[in-house]
This record gives sequence, structure tokens and C-alpha cells, in this order.
Amino acid sequence: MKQPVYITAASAISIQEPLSESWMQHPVVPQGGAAYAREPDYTPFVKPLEARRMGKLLKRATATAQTVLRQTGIARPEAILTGTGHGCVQNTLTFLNDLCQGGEQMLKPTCFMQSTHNTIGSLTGIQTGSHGYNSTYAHGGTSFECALMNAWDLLQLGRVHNALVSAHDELTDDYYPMLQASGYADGRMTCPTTEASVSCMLQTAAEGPVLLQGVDVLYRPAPEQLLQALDALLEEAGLQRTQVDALLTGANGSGTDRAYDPLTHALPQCELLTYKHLFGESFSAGALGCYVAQACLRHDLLPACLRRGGEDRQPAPRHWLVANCFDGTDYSLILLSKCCDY
Amino acid sequence: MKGTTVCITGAGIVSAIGFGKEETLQALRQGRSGIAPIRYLETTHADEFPSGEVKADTPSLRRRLGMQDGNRTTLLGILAIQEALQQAGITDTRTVSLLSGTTVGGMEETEQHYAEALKHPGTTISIRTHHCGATTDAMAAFFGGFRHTATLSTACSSAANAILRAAEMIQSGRTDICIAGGSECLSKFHLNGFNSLMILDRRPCRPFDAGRAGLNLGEGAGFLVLESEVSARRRKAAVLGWLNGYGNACDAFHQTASSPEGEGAFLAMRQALEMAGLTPADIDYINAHGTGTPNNDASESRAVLRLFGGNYPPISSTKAFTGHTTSASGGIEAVICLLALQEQFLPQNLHFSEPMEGGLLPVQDQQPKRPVRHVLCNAFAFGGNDTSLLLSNQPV
Repeated sequence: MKQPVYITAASAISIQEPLSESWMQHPVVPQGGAAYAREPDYTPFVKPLEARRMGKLLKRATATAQTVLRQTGIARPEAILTGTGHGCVQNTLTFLNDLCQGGEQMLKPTCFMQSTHNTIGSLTGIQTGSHGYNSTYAHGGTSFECALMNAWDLLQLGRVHNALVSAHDELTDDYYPMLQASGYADGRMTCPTTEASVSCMLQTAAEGPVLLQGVDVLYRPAPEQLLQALDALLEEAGLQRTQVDALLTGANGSGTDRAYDPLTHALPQCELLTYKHLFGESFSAGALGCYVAQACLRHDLLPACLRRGGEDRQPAPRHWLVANCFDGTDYSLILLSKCCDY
Repeated sequence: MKGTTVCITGAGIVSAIGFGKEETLQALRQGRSGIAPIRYLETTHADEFPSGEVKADTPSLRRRLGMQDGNRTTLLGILAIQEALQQAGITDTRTVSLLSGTTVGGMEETEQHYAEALKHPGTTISIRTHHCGATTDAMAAFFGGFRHTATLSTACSSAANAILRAAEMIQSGRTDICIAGGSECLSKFHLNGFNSLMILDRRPCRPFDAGRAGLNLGEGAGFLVLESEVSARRRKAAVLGWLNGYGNACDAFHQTASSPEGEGAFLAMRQALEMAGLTPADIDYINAHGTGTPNNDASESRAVLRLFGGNYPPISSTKAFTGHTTSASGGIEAVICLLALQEQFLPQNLHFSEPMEGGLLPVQDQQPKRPVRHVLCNAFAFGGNDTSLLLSNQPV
């Protein structure tokens, strides 16, 4: 028997107003190219002395996690799951550059230490004194979704009652050209290359307006495999294809947008929505898709900015499929619903 | 174990002590270490820090697999996965999930490209094959595809967490068969990183010895095919062992040091026992994380003594054979544990001469005093990401 899983809080730092849902009414309209996140005031989250020792990613991770923990009143999450495509890029590149320029001597241990991907989730563990389950995924653009899936399974197996799931990726001036050279910052993209930090709390023994109904991550699925996965998610949630009324895709204008065609054809009644035109593309963008959908469900509002020229729609659609495709290889599906009691 | 029983139907390994299970077993039985001066990685530390390199250069690894390209992490992973799938009799991987643990990913290739690019101002390197997920997906592509791929990156416990995660995926009904483990090659980046932390030994490492002075790095890959017992029966696959329990806990103490009481290690081992419904007295062998650093071995000893008391089971670190294969260690050592269960021997703890204060007496005699039925395999990591796997030659 499936346990209901609620997303009881979520927060994000992105190119929109940080730690805020004001993008729903007053979105920042981004330009193309590289766009950096807007930094919040970190003083409520990190002591200034500590902040100086942290790179921007660790500060953001602290701020998004703390926001969610304070909102839910959970001091020590039972599980901490983190996704990051590249981890602390700034530290990694500093160490790599020192190594290649200065030779194999006198290298800074802090940069090395903070180059490992799990330094982010471990920091949350240390900050909260949480000895529970703690794991990190570094699986390109579906890192967050893998972490979300891990949390889902732990909740369903009854091993934990709550899980903090986060995704963090940063952009630097040196790193952006590498993303371009790799084809990850595709010239055809109609949205900027950005950075993102997102945290959300999943709980079983709780209530709230946002119900997480399931998540799946697939490697190079054929169209029929993608639809099989969709149907399996819907079946588990007791839903039919016709009941899904919003499809939020990670379309970004690049060649991989065709990846969503099987879904748009299978769900013709859906309002077709995108989010990357507001939040940009990054290895953690999939987390923003989940964040956007849960914000709409929480506020029961589908804002005009997601509808590309439409108007605000209230109430919001009830059943959302969030789909993301990374680089044409890794696909994720997240199903969310508005809890009918709210 | 409550819920679905998870068994092991395939295993593959490559490390400094050999290609495949047969060579690995021989080296372990003969007490032959793979630690040597660095020969394949280009580094100024080649003769300074003995390491456990896989004894083949990258082009010859490619030739072995008939591949034109592919970085070392990917190639090592493919070799181990190939052996594991073959043993499990799996030819079509389209419904199988692949979970791989790595932290280095494509860094060894990237650091060469980066150094090259510095000589030619204005050039930018591609990181397409660099990030951890890219190496996993490159392994997946070699086999034609998997249903799901994911990359665990919890530093030195990455592969152990991939194996643990495979069990969760099977128990939650997501999949019947998972291939899980990890792959990591030596890189200048992490060799120098560990050196900057001053935890590399200039001599062959001596885990649990009073005179231990740090770790030797290693490289390689280890993967297990994990499967629900129902699926293994249906396929008539030979069952090699069972994953009866596992535990994941966070030390929550420090980014690069373990707590004096070994809290994370203690909790991970205790969870594994509880899940299997076994008591400490049921454990016949512990494959320790045992890196040879003063801090790890003291903390791990404390955790073992807290859980098992003075009457602790035979324990050894096999890192003096393979070097510390970092993210791959949980996979490599899980395969070694499986070999110990199948062949009924205790892997030796090489280079031990004097016990440390408050420490443990590691295995010196390969001959077990009682049947080896249940073993714990520990993998601990930076950030206190501690994991323990409980493998058995029988279900519980």
C-alpha cells in the first residue's frame, strides 16, 4: 500500500528573487548566455566568519536547507539526499588550475576537500547533527531526481518519516566556456545557462496541499518505454492519463526538446508549460521544475509567467507531470497532485 | 531481512591485484600485494607514494575491450561489469538498472586536457566525459542500455552506497535486477588532494598497525549483480550470496576526520545487523575500511569495540593489497567478501606488526576457526558518509 508523501516546504536560490515565490507575480526576465543566481542575505543562516570559509554553493545549500527546516520545524531530518552535477565547481577548478599551473606542490587542502560532491550533503549533516541516512548523487542533469527517488523509496519502505532532498549546482566565469565547449550550453538554447540551489522536505506523517505521487528516472528510453513509465506512475497514483492537467517540461529550445513529444502526444488535454525560460538550464534545473510545480500547487495558482502570454489561472491545475530530459540521454518524470483536502 | 530477499548472482572485479575474481583470489591467498611505485599515472610523485595501480595502461585497457576511446574510470568499470553480467548470465540489460559510484569520474582525462589547454591560450576544454554521471552513462552505452542509470558520489563510500541503493530499489519493487558497485582510477587531482591533507604513506600502508602513517591510493572497479530471490529463481541463476542487511549513517562530525567514538561507523554496522536480524556474535568476519590513516583506524577500532566488545570477530583491511580504491573500494571489497564466503578463508591484513593502543588485532591467519557465513563490509568516507554491508552465504 502506497504511503502518501507530502512536500511540506521547498525553497530555491536561482536567477529569480532568492528564497521567495515572488517570481510568480514579478518574474525577472532573463537574458541568454550565462546568468548568475541572485544571492540572498546569508546572515540569518551563516555566521560571517563561517561564511568566509564557504564557497557560494555551500552558503546557498545552508540557506535553502535552513529555510525548509525552519518552515517545517524539523531540526534533524531523518534522511539527507543531495544531487549535484558537478559539486563545488569553484573549488574544483581552483585546485585543478593550481595543480596544472603551479605543479604538484603546496596545494590547498580546503579546495580539495570541498571539491568532493558529498561535501554539500555532509555539511547539512554536520550543521543539523543528523546521524541518519545521507547520500549524494552526481548523475548529470538528473542528480536531483535520483536523490528524490531515493528519498521516495526510503519513505515507502518505512525507513524514515521525513527526508530533506536538495540539488545544488554553481556557475563560474571559467566554467561557462567549458559548458559551451561540451555542448551543455547549446547555442540553440532559448534560455540562459544558470545555477540553482533547491531544497525540499518530504514527509509521510504530515499533511499539506502538495502530494508527491511518484518519480522515475530512465536512461535513453524508447518512446514506448517512456510512456510505460508514465502509465506505471499514474497507475500507482490511481490516475488516468486524461486526469493529468499540466505538463511542465524542461524544454529549453535546444535539439533535445523533441524528447518531450511522446508525452505531449500522450497527454493532449494538458496545459503545456515550461520553466527554464524563467530559471535557465543547469545540472540542477530538474529540481527547479519540481520546485515550480509544488509552488503552484501550494499557492493554488498557475501564474501567467509560466503560460507564455496567458493570464494567471486560479485554481491551479490539480495533477502535474514534471518532465526533464538531460542531454537526450537521462529522462525524469515527477508526478505531483494537489491534495483534495486543501 | 524484512521484505524482499536480495541475493547476488554475479560479481566482477579489477584492481591492482588482478583482472577478475580468479586472479584476485590467487593474490589474496598468496599474500601478494599490488602496491608498487606509480608507473602509469604521470606525476612527479611517482616514486614517492606507492600506489595500487591496475597493471595496464589506458590504451591497452581499450584494446582489451575493443574500444577506440573511453577514460580510465569508464574502462575499469566496464571490465568489472562485464565479468559480473557474464557470471549472472545476463545478456539483455534493457530492464536492468546500473548504479555506479565514483568521485574522480573523468578527472584523470580532464586534468591532461586542462594542462594541454593552458599551453594554448584561448582554447577551452570539453567536460562532456568529465562529470561522474558521464562515466556511468558511458559504461551503460557499452552494454547497449539499461532501464535506469544513476551515479552515487559519497567519496570513499560511493560504491557501497550504490550496492545499498540497489537493494532498496529491489525491495521497493522498482526493479528485479540491479548491477551496482563503483569504479575509480588514479588521478593527479586526488593523489595531490590526499597529499595536501597529509594522509599518504611513503611506505606500503599498514592498516591497524601502531606505526601506520597513512594510506596508499589504489584504483579499480568492483560490481555485483543484485537480484530479488524470486527473479533469480525464475531465471534459474546460480545464487552466489545474499545481501542480508545494510546500514547508512552519517558521522556528522567533520568533513575529513572521523569522530573519536566512530559514531557513524557504529550506527552503520548496527543498522546492518538489525536489518538482518543478526547479533554481533553471528558475524564471522569484518572487512574493515581500514585505510591505514591514524584517524580512520582508531575511530573504526573504537566503533567495532563498541558494537562487538572485546570478543570481536576476525577483522582485516585488504587495502594493503589493493591500495585505497576510494569510491570503488566498497565494490571491490564486497567482491572480496563474497570470495571469502565462497572459498571459506579470511583475507589477511598485510604489514601488521604491532597493535595500536586500544586497537584491534587484525587477521594474520587465512584459515578461519569457524565457518564464514556472515560478513560485514565497511566503507567510510569524507563527510562521515559511512556505510556497512552485510553479506552472507545463506539467507536469514
